[in-house]
Amino acid sequence: MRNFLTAVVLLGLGVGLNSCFDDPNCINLKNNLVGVSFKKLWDGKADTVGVFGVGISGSDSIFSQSTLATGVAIPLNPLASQQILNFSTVLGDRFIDVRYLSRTQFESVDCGPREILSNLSVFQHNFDSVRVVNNAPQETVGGSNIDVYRCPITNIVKIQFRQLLADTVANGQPLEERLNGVVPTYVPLRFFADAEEDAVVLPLDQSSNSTTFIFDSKDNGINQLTVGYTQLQKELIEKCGVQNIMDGLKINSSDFDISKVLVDSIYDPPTTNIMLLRCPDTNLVEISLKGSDSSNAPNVEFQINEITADYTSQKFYVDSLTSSLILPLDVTKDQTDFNIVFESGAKGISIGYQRTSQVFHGQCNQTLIDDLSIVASDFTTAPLVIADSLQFPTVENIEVINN
Amino acid sequence: MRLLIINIALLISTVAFTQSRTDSVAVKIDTLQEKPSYFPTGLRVGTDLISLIKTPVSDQFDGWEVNADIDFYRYYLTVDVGSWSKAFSSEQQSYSNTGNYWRVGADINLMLKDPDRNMFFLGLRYAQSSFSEQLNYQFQDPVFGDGVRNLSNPSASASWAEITMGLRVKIWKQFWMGYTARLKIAPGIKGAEQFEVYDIPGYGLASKNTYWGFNYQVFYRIPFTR
Repeated sequence: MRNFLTAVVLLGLGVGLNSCFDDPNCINLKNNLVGVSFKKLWDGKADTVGVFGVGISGSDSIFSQSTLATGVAIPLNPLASQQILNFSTVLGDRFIDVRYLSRTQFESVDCGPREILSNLSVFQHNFDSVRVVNNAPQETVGGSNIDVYRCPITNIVKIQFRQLLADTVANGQPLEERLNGVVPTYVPLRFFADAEEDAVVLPLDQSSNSTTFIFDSKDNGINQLTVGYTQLQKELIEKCGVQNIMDGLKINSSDFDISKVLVDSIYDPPTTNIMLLRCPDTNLVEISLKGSDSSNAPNVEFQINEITADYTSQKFYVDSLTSSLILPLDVTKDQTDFNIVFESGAKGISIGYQRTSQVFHGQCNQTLIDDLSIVASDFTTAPLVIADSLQFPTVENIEVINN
Repeated sequence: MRLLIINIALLISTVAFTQSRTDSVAVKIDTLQEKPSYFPTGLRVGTDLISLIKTPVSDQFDGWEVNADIDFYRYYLTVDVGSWSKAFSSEQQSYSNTGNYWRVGADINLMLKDPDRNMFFLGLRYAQSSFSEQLNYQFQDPVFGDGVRNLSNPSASASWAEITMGLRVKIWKQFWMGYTARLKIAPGIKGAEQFEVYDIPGYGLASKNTYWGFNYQVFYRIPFTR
């Protein structure tokens, strides 16, 4: 009996001490985040979507702005029971009308009240398919409540930019085009505005058998490409119904140096369909600027107002701070005169050279330049020819001491 | 914590007292089998000392509880009636509730042959509570804005079950003292209209599916026979 009563006393003591652990943890009390995952209908795998932003009814806040994402987390209003999530994506504008139950719970004196959201459901949407996978909104970013599925996109073409070199490598190397934008002529939209891309994915016009794209490049100006194709009506996935499928891609016209069709069918996710290749620039001379004539003097940045050449009205390096110049020589003559306007005054330099013609990659009729020499210069110290043959990509050809 | 220490001290002294009494009567055990009498011999009426002490000491609690039991051989019919109100407030929020509760159940005395009617018991209870709650707070959200919310559950109710265990020890003439430890189980709640019920009078935190309770009680016994 004594042992039994001792056990009873200890039990009572344990129950008493248990009271010390009643206070709840106040961390992450809110559970008003709804996770939306983007998925592909045909394989159920994650889909990376270009999201311009997600807006919500009842707030002017925009979430997940300008991002490539496989999912987004959006806050729900704890004081409401319905909310519309507006998605602005590269695939178009979409919405999900969600309904949920919000209940207030007084957590503790220290933690205060919180709103508990539950019973999440989708009332309406205009995605291809939507499924609620967890009806309890989240406390932290990460989980998924709603899986959004999309049908395959059958009108997207992937175009890759390549830079050819003065060699025999067939397709050169990837070229990061500094784009002002790409505009399809059938729709008033500018894609890839102020972007630097080595490939772009663009929509084809489904109401026509050809689409013209205008590429506006910061370095290479404006080029135009017209893609032709046929259209098939086919049911790829039962849930998506009959879709318009672009096939038999071909280049109708292009003013890029070289344009090639690699794959003439549309894939989702896209595979490279078309390559746009630029011929090598074999007339670029690289001039380094130095402040003294010591042998190992480093390049020095100079403020340049502009540089002009005798064969073109184009101005180079306008209001630029640079320690190295890359300038195009005149391929129609054996000499090019440049006038470099420094902040401190203008100085001229005349470069002489020999020219020979050569065809690269079957279509690039290039002028190769070598035997560089300084014909004349206004610099106190005569510019020095370091390498007398032009390369692409460029190498340091001439050293100018601007003292 | 102070209350807990006092309780533990009282409990230990009670158990020690009980122990000495039960040791002394062990030699008097009659080996003859007496036919048990189920006629009640007395009514014990008591109150919970913890509620009585907490009410003037704490500014967050106000309550009382009355307990009664009547014996049928080794079985006791027990009834508890009580009331409690709680109130918490800070700059950002305030919560208060008030309500009444009752429990009814039975205990079985495991120390049947004690001449002083000391008892160590196990028992079961069914309990119900009727109460109201108010919650006022400042809602703050960086996306959806701020505001003040005033919520109430004017007529909520709850019911639950309890497993009990305790001691009753005679301390002087017709006075008994003891404790009842309660394991409260699975509250069913109705009438949570505007917010989730926080605190159920007689039970405690509604968010807990099991909860413990502890009464330290003093009883006066009214005998039916001399």
